[in-house]
Amino acid sequence: MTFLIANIRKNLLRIAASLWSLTIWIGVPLLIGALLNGVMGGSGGATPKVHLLVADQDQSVLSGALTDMLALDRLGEMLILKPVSEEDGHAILDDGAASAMLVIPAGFQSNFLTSAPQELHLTVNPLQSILPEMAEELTRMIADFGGYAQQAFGEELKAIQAISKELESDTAQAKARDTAVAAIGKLARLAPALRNPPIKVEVETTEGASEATFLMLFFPGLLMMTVIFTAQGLAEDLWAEREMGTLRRLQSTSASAAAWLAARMASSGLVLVAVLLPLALAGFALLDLPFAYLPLVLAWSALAGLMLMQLASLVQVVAPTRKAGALFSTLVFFPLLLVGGSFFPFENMPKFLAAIGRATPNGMMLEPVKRWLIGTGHLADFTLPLAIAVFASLVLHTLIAWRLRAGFASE
Amino acid sequence: MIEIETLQKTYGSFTAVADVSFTTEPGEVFGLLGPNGAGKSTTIGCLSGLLKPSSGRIAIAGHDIATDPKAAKARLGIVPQDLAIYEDLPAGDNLSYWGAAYGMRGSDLKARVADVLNVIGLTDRAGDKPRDFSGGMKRRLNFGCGIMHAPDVLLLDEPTVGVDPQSRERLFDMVRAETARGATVLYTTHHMEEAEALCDRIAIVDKGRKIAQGTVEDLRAEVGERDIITLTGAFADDHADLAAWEGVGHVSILSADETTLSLEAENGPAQLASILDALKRADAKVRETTVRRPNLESLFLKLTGRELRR
Repeated sequence: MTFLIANIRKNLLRIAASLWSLTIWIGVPLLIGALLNGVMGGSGGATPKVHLLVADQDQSVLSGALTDMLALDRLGEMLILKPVSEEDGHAILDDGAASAMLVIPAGFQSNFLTSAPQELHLTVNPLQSILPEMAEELTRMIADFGGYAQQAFGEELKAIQAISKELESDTAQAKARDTAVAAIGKLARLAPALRNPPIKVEVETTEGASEATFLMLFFPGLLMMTVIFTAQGLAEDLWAEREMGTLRRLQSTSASAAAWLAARMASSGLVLVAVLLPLALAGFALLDLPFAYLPLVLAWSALAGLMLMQLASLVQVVAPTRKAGALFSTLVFFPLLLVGGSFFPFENMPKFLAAIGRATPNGMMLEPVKRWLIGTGHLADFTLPLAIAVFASLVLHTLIAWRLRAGFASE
Repeated sequence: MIEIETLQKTYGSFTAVADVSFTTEPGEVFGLLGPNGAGKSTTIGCLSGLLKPSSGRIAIAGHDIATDPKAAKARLGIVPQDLAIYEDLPAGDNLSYWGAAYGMRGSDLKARVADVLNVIGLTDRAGDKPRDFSGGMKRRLNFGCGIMHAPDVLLLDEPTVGVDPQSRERLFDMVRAETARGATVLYTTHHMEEAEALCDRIAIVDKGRKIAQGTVEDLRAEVGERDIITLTGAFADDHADLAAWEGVGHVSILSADETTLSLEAENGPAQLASILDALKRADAKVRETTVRRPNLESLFLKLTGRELRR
């Protein structure tokens, strides 16, 4: 057994002995991925709905028709409607149990028929962000529809209102008014159908590409997140070796430092593959990706991991203490995680941020594999990042070796 | 085996080791005795190639550590003061790893691991991780890692720190076994008893300088047969004026300050009453008195005016 193999064996035995580290490296990205996928609606998960309370103070045919319109078809898929009194609605909102409350004020129908100005009140839950915004958009849409209806049928509505006043009995007036309102109500119910565009647009992806769902876009980032956590953990072991005194002892032996570093790279590569494998298998199965891509994805992610491990190692060996090393590492890698496409796909980021993210070490390695998995990439896309990763690894390797010799190992 | 010529190590204006020279022979235990901060560990650091000497020359088994470090280190084993073992790696694997670090492999390595486990008394714990070991067992494993490649020169830097008496005796036996096979052991300690019990020759160091060297017998002879009397209390400058001490003979002052008076006296116990009388007459306040027979500690006191363990 040469020193190289003895070193690889030693590293693997020590990592296998710390099962908690392995569990965290695999488990945390899985957990974050599941949570983010759930929140963003991912694939197969329940779509979040707007829990909208409706306080109908008008109790008219038109306000009823409005409520009915909200429950229709595609709007109904986005909404959970609950009729409440305004007082009860505020109590529910205070408990954070709804997204927003729409108050239809008394006189809504009569103001509508006379084209008098009026307001719909929407109270939103401040503890939620996206869902109340959706409710706000819906309310604006309703207001817009009302405006269009008044513009289209304003004269007719006024005429009917005038005729109803000329009718003798209150019953006849009410009947005429209700007929007009019912007509508008029917129009409201037809609104979704009317909104359907006359030209049908068929959406399809480019040849060989799969539909880029959130999970599909997120999956390579999740692999990179695993790689980053593992790389950080592997790098921190330098401090463990230093504190155990084994680095110092190694310096006094005739063993080659190059062999020690090479063994560290080799064992880290094996650990990265082992940690990535379960996540990759789960992702491929869930996203129905061709398993022929698996070796390339694993090898590429492991290569990214080795480069990032070298970066993390450099951060550790320049830090004055272990605590400082952990802090510096967080300061470097947390922003990389955030903008490098691991927490949020570049496609969901503002353009300038996505451009920065694609230039980060993890973002650079993420892009070609993502395109490859979606089906829009080519092997040539890997060439430049590969060259940069190899060059960066060599530079980092040299700097780490220098720092180890310059005192980190023997201090 | 070890040749050190005018070794000097400085850190800025601070001199950790100044002009230290000595040589050691095969099969001997050479002690480096001195208080904490005397420069022992710095000397070991330079010897093991961890520290670069500011000047001077070091050779291990004929190989210069500066110009031929690989060959020099191959003949050198080190047992550092602080443990240097993998706590999360079984004892047998620790030994195997450090053996491989010196180029051992295959059946030789396997056989040597078994031998060393036997020497350090951990054969039945070979598969256990050191984190579950007692302090003494860890120290033994630390020693075992240093002797895996049967080095010509073994450096032991304060190896008994925190070790119980039983484990210390076992460690002494292991050191003697190494010298018996012809290895040179350089043993640093600040325990005079350890140095006297184990070392064939001793160099006493203080503040980076070698202040005495020889066999234990040579060094004892340097102290003579005079006892060391240490008095603690409250003293003035004139209390150390021997001319004023009536009825006290063959006494000399080693050191004196406001709280401690160290004397060298022939037949100290017999003269103690006269010394205390003389001090009482001079209004000195004596709270504690210690009389010691001549030994290495009293030699250190004689040479430096300070206790070895202060």
